[in-house]
Amino acid sequence: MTFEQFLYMGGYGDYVWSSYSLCFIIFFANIATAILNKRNTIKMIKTRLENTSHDT
Amino acid sequence: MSGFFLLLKRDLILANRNRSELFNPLLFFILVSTLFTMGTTASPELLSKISAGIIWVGALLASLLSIDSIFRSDYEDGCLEQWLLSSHSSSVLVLAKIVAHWIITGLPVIIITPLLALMLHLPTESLTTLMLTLLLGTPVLSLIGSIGVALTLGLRKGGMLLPLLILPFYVPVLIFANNAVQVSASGLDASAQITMLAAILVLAITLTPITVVACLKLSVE
Amino acid sequence: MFQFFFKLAAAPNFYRFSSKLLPWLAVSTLLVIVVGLYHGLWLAPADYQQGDSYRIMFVHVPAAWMSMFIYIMMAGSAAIALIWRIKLADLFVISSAPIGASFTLLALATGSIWGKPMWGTWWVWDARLTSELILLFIYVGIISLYNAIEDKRSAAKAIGILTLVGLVNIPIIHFSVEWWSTLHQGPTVSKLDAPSIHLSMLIPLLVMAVGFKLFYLTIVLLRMQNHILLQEKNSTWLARKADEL
Repeated sequence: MTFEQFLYMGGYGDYVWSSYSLCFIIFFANIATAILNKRNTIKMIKTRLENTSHDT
Repeated sequence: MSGFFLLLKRDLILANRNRSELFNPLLFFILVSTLFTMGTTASPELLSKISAGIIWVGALLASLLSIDSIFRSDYEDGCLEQWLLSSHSSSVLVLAKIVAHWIITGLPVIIITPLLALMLHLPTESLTTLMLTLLLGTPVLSLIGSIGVALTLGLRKGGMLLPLLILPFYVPVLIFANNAVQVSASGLDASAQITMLAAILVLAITLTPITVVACLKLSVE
Repeated sequence: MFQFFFKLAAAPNFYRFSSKLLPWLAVSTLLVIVVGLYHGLWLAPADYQQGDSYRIMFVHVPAAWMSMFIYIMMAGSAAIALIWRIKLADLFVISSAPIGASFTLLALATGSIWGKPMWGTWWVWDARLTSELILLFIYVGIISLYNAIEDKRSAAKAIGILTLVGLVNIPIIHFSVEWWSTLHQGPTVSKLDAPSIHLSMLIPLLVMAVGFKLFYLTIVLLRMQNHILLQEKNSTWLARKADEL
């Protein structure tokens, strides 16, 4: 099929593409929160270690 | 076995002393049901279709309202911990408390239902089915509710968490009960749904006490 | 062989192993999903009855499968944690819950979007939709309970029990379409019979299902690593390995 047909999806384009975008958004949210949380935790641990090592 | 009856008697006597508290869930049940009629300005025909659902939702909310008290005061004054440590079987003691709760909240609901059914224009053919579903279903509400309470007992800001945890598990009971009444209202046989409710009750009675004990032990730590 | 798995139950080993695994998982997830999308959106022909709208199936069905699959994994892990007291199994439960909730939400939303052109309605209170919605509430309840309990070890045990209690919902969802003749379509892909779906549509469906599983594996490992770090923040192995993180 052509690219126009691809976007139009036989008249159901709105439904199909909103479903797939929703899927993409949810996937992205999962990836982003997982990576960000891990990064923040590592940062928190590193600062804690630096703070406690200053005491010695 | 004597521990079971001792605890049951104790809880019933305690409840009897706070008789005003006793009527709260019942009044709530009646109030909710009548609020529906006032809020929807429904005709008798429409009401007769949804009356079973209204009564069941009312019973559900009344159970939810009162379930927190099942362990609360005993947790706060330390009795709960003692019972868990005692030589009596904890599951049996938990079952005693749940039975007490059902006698205090579930049974009055069942007894007052014919009156409400009259008010809400419930088709008379389905009244016995409705009573049967309540008889089988309200103990399940008490049982499942107690799991939720046991999980959230130690939390300070438990608040809305308890309904959130319990209501998803109430829904299958609600669906089967309502389905049973709808089916019997149209004159058909509802024994499949009733059997399902009975099965759920048996499953709940067997598995809930041990689960509650495990959750209580967590909360009491 | 068993030695390998036993060692894996220790947090530092698991962290190291999952760090090595993650890049491979991420790349293969991306590849498989891209292949699945290409197959489902471009190669596969339009459906006789539903036209091109049926392509939503390639997202909706794998999402629904994942919503139940993840819950079963959580329940199995919760049982393992309860019986053998393996802390990592506890972490697996809370790491999986948000992903399971996401897929349940995706399944419900895409199902609703698909339902509008097909059945003419955004929602209907039939058995499968209702029980899937209950599954979403159960996931949310599990996550809320974990967040509400301060001591994370008790929290993990509590949600382990809650997960096992909620397991009864899974057979209800799965068999609801068989027990009640409802609006939702019956099962087309079963383990024992030949599927009643054409191969050109079955392949992208299965590819997307595999892709979703790989995605789940990637994210759950990431989240578990985060929980391991939080749990072990006072331990010595972390202090020594801090620069490698």
